[in-house]
Amino acid sequence: MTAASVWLVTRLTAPVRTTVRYELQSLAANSAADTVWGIFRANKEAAPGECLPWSDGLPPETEFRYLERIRDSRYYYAFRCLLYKEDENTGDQLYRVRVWLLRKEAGAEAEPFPAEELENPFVFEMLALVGGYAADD
Amino acid sequence: MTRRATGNEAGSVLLWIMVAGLFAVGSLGAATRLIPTGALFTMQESDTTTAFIAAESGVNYVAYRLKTEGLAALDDLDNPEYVALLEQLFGDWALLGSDRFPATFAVEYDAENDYIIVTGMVAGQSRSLRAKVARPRELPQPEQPSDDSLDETPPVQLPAYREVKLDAAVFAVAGDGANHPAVHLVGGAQAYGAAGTNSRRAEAIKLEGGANIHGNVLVRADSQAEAEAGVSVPDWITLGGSILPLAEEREYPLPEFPAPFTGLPARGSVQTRWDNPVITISEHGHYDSIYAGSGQY
Repeated sequence: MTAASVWLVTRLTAPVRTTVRYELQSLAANSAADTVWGIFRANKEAAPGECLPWSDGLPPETEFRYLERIRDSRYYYAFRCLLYKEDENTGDQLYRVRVWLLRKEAGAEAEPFPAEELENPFVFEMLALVGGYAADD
Repeated sequence: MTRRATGNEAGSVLLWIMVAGLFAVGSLGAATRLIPTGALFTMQESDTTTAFIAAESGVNYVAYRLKTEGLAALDDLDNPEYVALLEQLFGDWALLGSDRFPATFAVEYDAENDYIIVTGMVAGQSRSLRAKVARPRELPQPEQPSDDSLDETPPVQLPAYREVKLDAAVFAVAGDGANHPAVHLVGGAQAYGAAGTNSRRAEAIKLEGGANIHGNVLVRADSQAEAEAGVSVPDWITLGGSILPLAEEREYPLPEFPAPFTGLPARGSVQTRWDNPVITISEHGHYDSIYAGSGQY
């Protein structure tokens, strides 16, 4: 009876946990993308040095920067960039950027990243223009 | 002393147990439907964020095309075949988006209103961003007065306008004797574009009331902290851009204005008044001042 109750509760709350996870990831991804665009906007001449060289794999943990606290989670981001090439005449201003997000629980800032986070980080890609695109820039 | 339950009372208990059981089953059934539905909504919202990132990436792409190719890139963007090609390029490449779903974007150019509309798409969700194309302003060229308009005045050789690049909506060069705060916006004043100053004083840029700057705020400073100390903004106002330190002072040389015509007949001053709000100047001449406003009562 107890085992059945635990199974039922776990089963029923699984979607809630998934929901919370995606909501937090969504907020963190939005924030990380804004941060990266801001870094590119501030670099008027060339891509920010910290995003080179390109890497498909997870960057070293030491490169992850604290992003922000979202509810009880703390998010860290790292990014890598690769010059976007459409043809031979392509300039050197547009970059394909890959962003990794890792999460820690609040209070565990001094701890290494959890193994499950390192095995399954949230990854997304975007395009960023050196110097930004606003008319005032 | 105890009393044994009668047959009717036992039936009543069973009935309540059945009602409670049905309620519990119904609640569980509703929960099993509502919770996944809520989860679906949240995941769709998450996908909308990814679609936004794709759309913003698309705006970066279009801006890059405009920077490298100039306004000629708009011809491509306005071409349906190219738009389809672009969509295919990014769709096939699956460059953007998260590890769950690839995202793409489509570009549309509204030539009539000069808008670029970029739509990011992922997993059935989409977000559109609209950006106005900032075309370089065409400086008005002074017309050479014809012989008819200047009865007895010889033709005047006008100096050409010197183009001055203005990359800030508001910029106070500051310096000795300059006002403080160097940039002071109050009430509903809105600066659309960057604003900045060479002043290094604290709160050199001050916003009050509902005033705002919809662009980056540039402050002459050696560090980010010093730059931020140079800006005073009410807590409830969110700046449209970032506060950035300026490593070097900026200069905005004024354009060379044409020298006044010589030999024109003197016309005195003209000014509007409350009872004469429209004045048409139809004669050439030298006017000491031209005042347009509510005038004196």
